[in-house]
Amino acid sequence: MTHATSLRTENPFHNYSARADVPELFNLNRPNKEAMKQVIRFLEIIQKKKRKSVILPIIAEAGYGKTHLFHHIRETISDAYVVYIPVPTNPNRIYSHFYFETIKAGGAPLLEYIADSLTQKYNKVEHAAVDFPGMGNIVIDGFFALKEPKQAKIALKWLTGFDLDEETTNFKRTIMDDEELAFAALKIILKTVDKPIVFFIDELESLFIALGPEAELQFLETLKKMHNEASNFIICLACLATLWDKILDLSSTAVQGRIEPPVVLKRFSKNDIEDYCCQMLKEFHQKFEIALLEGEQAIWPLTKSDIESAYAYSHGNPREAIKWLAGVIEERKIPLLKDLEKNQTFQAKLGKKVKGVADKVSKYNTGILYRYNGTLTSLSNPEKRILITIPPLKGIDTIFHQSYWKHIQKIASGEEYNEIILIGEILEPEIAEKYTIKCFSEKNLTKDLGNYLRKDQNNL
Amino acid sequence: MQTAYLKILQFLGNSGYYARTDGEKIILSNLIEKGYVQVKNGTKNVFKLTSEGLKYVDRELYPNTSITDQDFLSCLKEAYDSLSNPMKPLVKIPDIRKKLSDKRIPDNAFDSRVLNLHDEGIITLQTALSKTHAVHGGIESNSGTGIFYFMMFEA
Repeated sequence: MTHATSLRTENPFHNYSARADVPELFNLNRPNKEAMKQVIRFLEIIQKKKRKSVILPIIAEAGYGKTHLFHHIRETISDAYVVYIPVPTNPNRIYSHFYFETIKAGGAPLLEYIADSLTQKYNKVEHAAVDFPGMGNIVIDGFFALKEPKQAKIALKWLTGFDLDEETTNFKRTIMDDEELAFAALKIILKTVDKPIVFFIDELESLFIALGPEAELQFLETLKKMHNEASNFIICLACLATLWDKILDLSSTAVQGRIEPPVVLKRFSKNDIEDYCCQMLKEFHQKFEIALLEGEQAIWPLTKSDIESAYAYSHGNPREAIKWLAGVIEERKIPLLKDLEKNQTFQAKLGKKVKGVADKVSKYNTGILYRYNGTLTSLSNPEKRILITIPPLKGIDTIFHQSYWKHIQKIASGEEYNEIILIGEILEPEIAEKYTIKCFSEKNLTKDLGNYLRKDQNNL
Repeated sequence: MQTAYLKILQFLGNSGYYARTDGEKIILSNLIEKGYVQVKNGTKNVFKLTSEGLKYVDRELYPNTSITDQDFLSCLKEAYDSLSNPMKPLVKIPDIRKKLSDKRIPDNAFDSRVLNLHDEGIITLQTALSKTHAVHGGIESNSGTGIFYFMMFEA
């Protein structure tokens, strides 16, 4: 597969829809700055024990970055555990859903940590009994068993939701089927962990859409109970802005009273779109073998007018803007890939000739590198290093030439090579003058370059 | 076509208009959904304007063209502030429209001014969940991304 062929699938804007299981590459601060500020503020309040729990709605239109915000919170905030909670499909299994998502996020280390903390604090399970009466005792038993070598395996299975009826008589109830038990387990985790937990509930409106207002109401009432009885957490309720009113209206005043005023995510401004493009296109430029671009070129192959159009089309909706830009990139890529294919054929043909000549000059070791869409042939022996370089094909996008010359300039200003020979025409005369680059035309290349190198060899 | 019927209904006042054909009934039912028309009490097919319909005809027939951008923005802000609260920062555009109906700003002028304010970043418009959720009174997005149905002032 040629370089140009492999680039056909490259598009920095392909992933315009965030997923909880795919990390996001880059965050623009402005649109979610307020939301981050609020999450950090409430975390501080919880850490200082001024409040036990907070329910913070985060509302925005579809595509404004709610799921992206989850990634940003998880990557930025180190003073809390961040757990992604997809909306449960069954409104009767909410605590077990919270519990298992927490275990999924924390994994075995979380269970180990809780078990260690509990055994260190209470030493014997009986000592913990008063602090965790009722259902809590069953869960405590499970965590203590996790530290018993003989029972650890089965305790781990129980804590992760296995039904152990046939394996043991010790664990009669299963967390999976028992909401009370799941809630008790969740409360123990929240009480024991060293940092608060941020539960990020995504697509709060899904229950409302899929199962109707009653399911949503039930879900919100469950959150209220959790808010009242458990501690050390923030629940971020990410919800479509346009359904927030309806959800709020159907919830009881008791629920409403426990919910903070919502934070609204902001849309992209034109500058945001440009900053986003600059960042996302960096890797794209590398893949096209283009040196770091600055100023207006930083968004190549896009232009300022593309940014304007993306904003006008999307009205600042980040997902719509990115989707639109993905389409533009696909269109722009077609001529660029054609240019690169032509250039590759040209480089291969001429490169072969240069190598043929160089190989005939026995005193040099030859190495070939394709860099910045030009060919760099290095001839070296203990006394001398010569670089023979072929610039990109004339007539292809100027960015490839600019990028190549930037690279040659960098090489020429260093001391790595004693001499630089260019095949073709110098498009940047001042560079040739400054660094004394010798030129050979493509015409009679084999003869002229061969004679020059042989002469040079004889002088060594 | 709907505007023509609204004008006739305004002319006929309280006596109302008797719809004879199915086509007329469809048009008038549509206007009922928008809240501009109602069936006259005690009749089946006699229609008359609602107070909202009267205001609509008034602003479409005698539009206030002299309202400046600054005045429009102040009116919009005032209407928004009266309808929003910290728990519900988004306000339905039809509600704002209603609130401003005495200003006699024609719907087209209202839509384009609101879209401009959105593009300038002064307000944020948000689309309805789907076209069926934006029954009437939203603003069709000129880029086809949906129907703007909610608005808020940028913080």
